[in-house]
Amino acid sequence: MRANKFLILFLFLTLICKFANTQVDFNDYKTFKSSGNIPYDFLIRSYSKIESDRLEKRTSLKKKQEKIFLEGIHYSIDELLHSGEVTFGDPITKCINRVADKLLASDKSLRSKLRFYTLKSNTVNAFSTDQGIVFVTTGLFTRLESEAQLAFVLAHEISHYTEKHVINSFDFEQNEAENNHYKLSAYSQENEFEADALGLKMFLKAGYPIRAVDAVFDVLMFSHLPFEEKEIEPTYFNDRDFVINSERFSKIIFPIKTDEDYDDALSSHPNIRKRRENVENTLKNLETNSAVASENDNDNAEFLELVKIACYESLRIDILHADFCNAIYTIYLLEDTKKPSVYLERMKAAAWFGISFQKQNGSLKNFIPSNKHLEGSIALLYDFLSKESSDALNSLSISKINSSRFMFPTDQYIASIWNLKLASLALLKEFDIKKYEPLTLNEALNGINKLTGKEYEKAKNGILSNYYKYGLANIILTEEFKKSLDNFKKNQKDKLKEEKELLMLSKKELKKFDETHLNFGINDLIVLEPHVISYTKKGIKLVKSEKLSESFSESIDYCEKALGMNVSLISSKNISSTSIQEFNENTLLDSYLTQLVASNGNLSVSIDKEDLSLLQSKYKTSKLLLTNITHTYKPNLNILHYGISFAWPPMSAILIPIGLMTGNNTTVNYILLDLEQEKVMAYGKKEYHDLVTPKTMKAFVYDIMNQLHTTKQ
Amino acid sequence: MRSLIPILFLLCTFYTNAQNTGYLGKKTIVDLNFVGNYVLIPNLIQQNGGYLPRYKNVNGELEEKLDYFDYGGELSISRVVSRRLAIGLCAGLDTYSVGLMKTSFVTNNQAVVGKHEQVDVTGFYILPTLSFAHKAGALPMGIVHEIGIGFRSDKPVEKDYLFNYKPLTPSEPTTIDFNTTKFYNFSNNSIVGLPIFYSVKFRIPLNDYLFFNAGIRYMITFQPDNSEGFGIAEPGFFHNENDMLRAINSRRHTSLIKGFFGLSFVF
Repeated sequence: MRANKFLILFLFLTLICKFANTQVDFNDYKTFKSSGNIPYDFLIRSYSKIESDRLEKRTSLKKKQEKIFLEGIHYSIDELLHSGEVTFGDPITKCINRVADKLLASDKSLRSKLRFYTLKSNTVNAFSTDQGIVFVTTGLFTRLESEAQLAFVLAHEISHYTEKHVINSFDFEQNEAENNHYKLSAYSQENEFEADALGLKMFLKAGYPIRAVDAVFDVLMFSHLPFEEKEIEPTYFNDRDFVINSERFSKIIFPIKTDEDYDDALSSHPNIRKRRENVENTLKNLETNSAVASENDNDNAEFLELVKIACYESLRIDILHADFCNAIYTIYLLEDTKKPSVYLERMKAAAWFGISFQKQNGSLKNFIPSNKHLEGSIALLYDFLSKESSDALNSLSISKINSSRFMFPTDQYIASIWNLKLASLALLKEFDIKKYEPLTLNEALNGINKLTGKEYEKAKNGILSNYYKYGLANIILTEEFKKSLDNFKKNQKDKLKEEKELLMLSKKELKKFDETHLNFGINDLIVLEPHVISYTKKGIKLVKSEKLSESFSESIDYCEKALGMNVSLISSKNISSTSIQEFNENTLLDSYLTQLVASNGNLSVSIDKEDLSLLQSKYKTSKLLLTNITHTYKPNLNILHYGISFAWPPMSAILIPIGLMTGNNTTVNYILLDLEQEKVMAYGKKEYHDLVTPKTMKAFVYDIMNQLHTTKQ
Repeated sequence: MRSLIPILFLLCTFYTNAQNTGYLGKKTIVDLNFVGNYVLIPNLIQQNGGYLPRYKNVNGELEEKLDYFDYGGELSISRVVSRRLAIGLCAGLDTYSVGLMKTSFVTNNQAVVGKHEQVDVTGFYILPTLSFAHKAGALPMGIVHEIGIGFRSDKPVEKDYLFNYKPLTPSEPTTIDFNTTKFYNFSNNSIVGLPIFYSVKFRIPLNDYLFFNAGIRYMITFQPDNSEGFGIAEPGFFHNENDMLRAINSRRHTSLIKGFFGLSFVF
């Protein structure tokens, strides 16, 4: 009896632990991070991997081709590995690895060669590499319904690896710029058929049900659509007082195209029809019993929890990449109006601010598909956003952000978005409080009820076409709003005055400004390991560039000692296998930069504000320095040089060497960011006619660090 | 993503920045160079029947032989005063040799003809210099243009030179003992000139304190009249007082381009 009690308790605790591993607080969602020891793939430099492969004679290619191939695969995949978008040790990756274990239970040798990671991307994709790495995107995960579907995807990718499809379809003529992981996974249609067939065998052998395969093809067919199809009610966008004229929403239905047998002549993948037929033919030829293995409901519940995590992650990715239209729809899919989530309200506030801002600067159209590509419910949203005026979206964003503020009045992130909105309104010349009406839309329409006939129609049309001016009185026409706006306008005025003064500086004053604009008297600084790129006529010198990047830490060490600064270099490559915290810090900063770039370096609030604050506390500074060093060589000789040298040969002794030496062009770009205030403090570039070597790089870095360390007189 | 950083830079407006001097804060530069040149033009002149033939002492016999390389050494110290400007002092030593005229007249109008071993000359120069980094450069690294104007002194080396003279007109009576007469006696005078030079050099750092440098230099020496008391020990026996002056001048002007390489120490 006692033993039974212990057994029950043990089982209960096991269940709790198992569940606890995937238990996520979706109310305050935090992106999943990597955990555990850092795998070898992330620790070793690309040139070391290339050298190792070369010594192992991993390919049977000739020397020149081998060099192109190994550099191509390693540099492109390593760039992805260190992009901050790849994770390991997180719940999704653990699930992927468990499924891989099942698939390869009878082939331990193959299993030991393969590594599986999650790629945080909304692209619905999975791909394998020649090195034995398989990536599965979170975008794909959002579409899956069961572990079996994942298993088929993995089996397909593993087959690409075993059949060496990467090397078979590698383009040896392309240059480094064209070599990216997308191109590396563009196989021929025959390869795709082969991977489907072999993958199917592996999949069935592992005991997975055949019905999952068809579902995977459905996923692929609809991969261009959001992870769920849910009709949008136009009233969804209304708030308590702010109401959108329902006529603004299109009555057109945007059907979802379901053509399986599309023309695949120019596609790397065969169309879905052909792939299904190929699978059917393979099944017929298989001796394996395709009996359905039943899936444990509890396992599927766990799997669906991971799918939900992927869905929340997809929203985060949309915000990071400034795809706010998609973000709004995703929030709509995830939202539970009865139980508001602070995370979703934050993202909503950010998305509506972003949409309004993009409309004003004309970039919103970049995120809206053309008419012929509009499909499904999300098309209604795209259609609405593309047609509405800048003023209308501005009003909508004010209403939405204020609603989020109302729901979570103490949330710092939402408050920051609100301040950002005010700042953007202060900048907007067209924004005039007087344009806004004190009534709501319904009150205004009720007010013209006494009118009749054409007069009524005219008045009604007038109100409805200017619907965005109504319903914001409680927000805009308050003293608090006016006071806040005035403050921002004053700050803006001061800033513009400063910028104007800068433009009016004399040449001498400008030179002085150039010399001192980095003099912040900084002692503590975070530096991200830079990209160093050395170009030649034939392309990028990948190995040299990488070794130069590696030597950057030497430069930082020197500057620290020489200047008495406290400089923390964050690198995803220069770490040990146990430095998981540093790895995640690097990922955090990469995300921050992604968001900054996507917002064109303009107004934005980092979605990882809290984690960034922790980072700042750890390194005791909010200052982040980014650098990027490029080197090109092109002799600085023209017909004049040759002419003078011919006319007066002794001059050639001067002109030709100078022309050759000044052909070296090294540019060091730098940006200094303040993570606390989330603004760019300074930026610029320095140009040198020097080679980039570890020693010269030290001088370049010292130059910048010294200026940062110096206090302005 | 890291690869987005270049895009981030492109979105910003750029300023150049021109503060700070020196290499890792070090502003004093000491260059130690080997200077040399291929004796191109004097050799070409010589090969085309030049009037300053050059002979060498080969096992006690005079043989017409050319020098191919002149060489010397140089030490310069400079101090970086701004990102692109340094002020310094350069001192150097050149060694070369000059040939003398085949035919000369002694003071009793007796013409003599013959061979004289090349006279070795040592030149010493010292010049204050101004160094400018090339556009988009930062001293001391990279391409540096240097100019200087100063003082130069060239002096023939005193030693027993081999020579072999005889009367131009054998039948003419002579009182000169061709076996014992020394046709050149060098006094302690030296030729002083005003050198102006321009050089272009590049420096590449080898470590935190050391650079490799190399470059090309033009040096023109302006010669005030300095014919007085040069090389004449016994008036009447010497060719023309200005022979040596002309020889040295000619040699300097035909070798005005020199190359150099060496090490630069920064501290």
